[in-house]
Amino acid sequence: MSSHAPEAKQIFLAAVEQCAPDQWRQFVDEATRGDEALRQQVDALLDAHRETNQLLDGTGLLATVAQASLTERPGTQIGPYKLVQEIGEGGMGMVYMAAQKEPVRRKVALKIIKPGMDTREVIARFAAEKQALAIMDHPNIAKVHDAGTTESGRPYFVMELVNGVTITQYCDDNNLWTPTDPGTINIIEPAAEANQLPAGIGSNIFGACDERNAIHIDLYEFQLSGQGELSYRLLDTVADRPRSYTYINDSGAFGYATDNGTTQSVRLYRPDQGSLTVHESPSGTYADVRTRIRINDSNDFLYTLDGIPYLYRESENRSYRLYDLADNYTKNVLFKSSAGDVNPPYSFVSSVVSDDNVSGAPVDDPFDTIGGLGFVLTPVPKQ
Amino acid sequence: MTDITRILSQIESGDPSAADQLLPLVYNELRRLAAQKMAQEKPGQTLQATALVHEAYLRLVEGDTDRHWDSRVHFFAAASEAMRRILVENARHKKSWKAGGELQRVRLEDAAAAIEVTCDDVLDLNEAVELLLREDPQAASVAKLRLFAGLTLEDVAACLGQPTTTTFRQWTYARAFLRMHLRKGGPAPQ
Repeated sequence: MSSHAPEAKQIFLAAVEQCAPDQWRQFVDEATRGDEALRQQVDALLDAHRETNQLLDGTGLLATVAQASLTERPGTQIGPYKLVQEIGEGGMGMVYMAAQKEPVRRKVALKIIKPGMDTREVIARFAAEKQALAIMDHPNIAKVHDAGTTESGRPYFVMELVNGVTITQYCDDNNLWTPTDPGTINIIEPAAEANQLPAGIGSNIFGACDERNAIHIDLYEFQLSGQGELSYRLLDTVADRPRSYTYINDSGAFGYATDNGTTQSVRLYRPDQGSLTVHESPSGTYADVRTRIRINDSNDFLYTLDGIPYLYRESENRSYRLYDLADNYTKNVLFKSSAGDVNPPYSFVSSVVSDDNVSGAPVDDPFDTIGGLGFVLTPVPKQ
Repeated sequence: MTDITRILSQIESGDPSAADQLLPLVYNELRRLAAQKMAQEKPGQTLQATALVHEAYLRLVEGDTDRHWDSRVHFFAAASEAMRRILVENARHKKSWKAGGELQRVRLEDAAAAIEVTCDDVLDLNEAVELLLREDPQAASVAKLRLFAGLTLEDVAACLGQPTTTTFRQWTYARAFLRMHLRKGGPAPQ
């Protein structure tokens, strides 16, 4: 076809422009001069010219760019899991209760990325969330059993199904809503306002993070009325906002705060309903949390200052901005850890360090997530 | 100034590397806009691909009063390519869903008539466009702007900086070429 294409094109256009359709045959006969291959090409073009086609003849394609009706729904089988009912909806994903038959018979929670949200960026965040949960082993953090991709190409992961009363129900039942503002739960009383590093903050969780390459979860202390009565699990991590802090305390309450620059909102997670904003405060309220993460039992520490990640080398008594590191080792560790690698050959030992002697570093750069994913560390206040 | 208008300015001032940066930006913008629109719609709603391109243009380029006509050329060239990729990705994506023929159908409509188009139709069209790109790039440019950015042939001509008659001829050929390579029959009118 190729060898004759330009010539066929010229003869075809000449026929269409200069002749009535009933003269095409004669015109093409003459123009192709007995070249049968050429003639066939011109004839094919002319035949096609006569036929209508709605794809080509409309005013442009009107297409479903994101087809929400093609989502998984109750009854859909995804691998060994059969979706039973929808139990929650988050920013990125839908959560379903699902029944598993093989190899064990159990009910699980299955989280699938939302239709229309499956861009590369969101998929990467989703993977980071899965990764963050998967490497945790703690009674207050939901376990990840499995992960995969649905037949429609969207990633999912499977978590333990947590049965229990929602935190809002708990607050209803225990009369924990403040009378003046029905949207505010009075269990949230940032300890930072008392300018204290809470004793024993999330030590269990840091224990869980130990040697599990976890740099993702961070902690904040809430005072919880009726302590000890709740046993909630962390079902969600904050992988999608650069400046967010995930909280869980010894009593099992969990939530996270986001910082949009002017206000910070605290959201408590409702396992069945997604999340709910329950508290807002002016910026700065949560700035007094001091946490560093020790790397590999070394004297190197990761921390952030105003959201900017730094490495502190105790041996040099000096801080490095992460992306200025001459030593690529640490950067690689972080990239690997934030890139969803399930078994990075590195180990982070996380520990809370109360030492405030972190050398100063510039804070003028905006926070930039590492590898595009939610690398979340607690900010250290400027000394 | 958005990234896109900044890059359009760079292209106009003769920076050849800027053109490469435009496509991913426009692509992401269209995906974002589509996702945003779908979030506001009921499940199963359709979006007009070409309307999406125009809305992106109005938002990103037209608001900037310093734009020259050149900006439109580069923007729509990138947008038609981006939309082609999006449609093809979506069609492939849905084809991988095995649960029955009904679910493999993508609804395509135009102002005149609603038609049912299968994913195969979209993929076939894309293959035919790619074939045309190799055989006759000029005609393929016209076809892409017409089909994926929804420009009228007069606008296509202005966009490509060529006479309308030339554009009409190229479209006549492109249309016949594509029709020839599409499966016999094509999508049936409803």
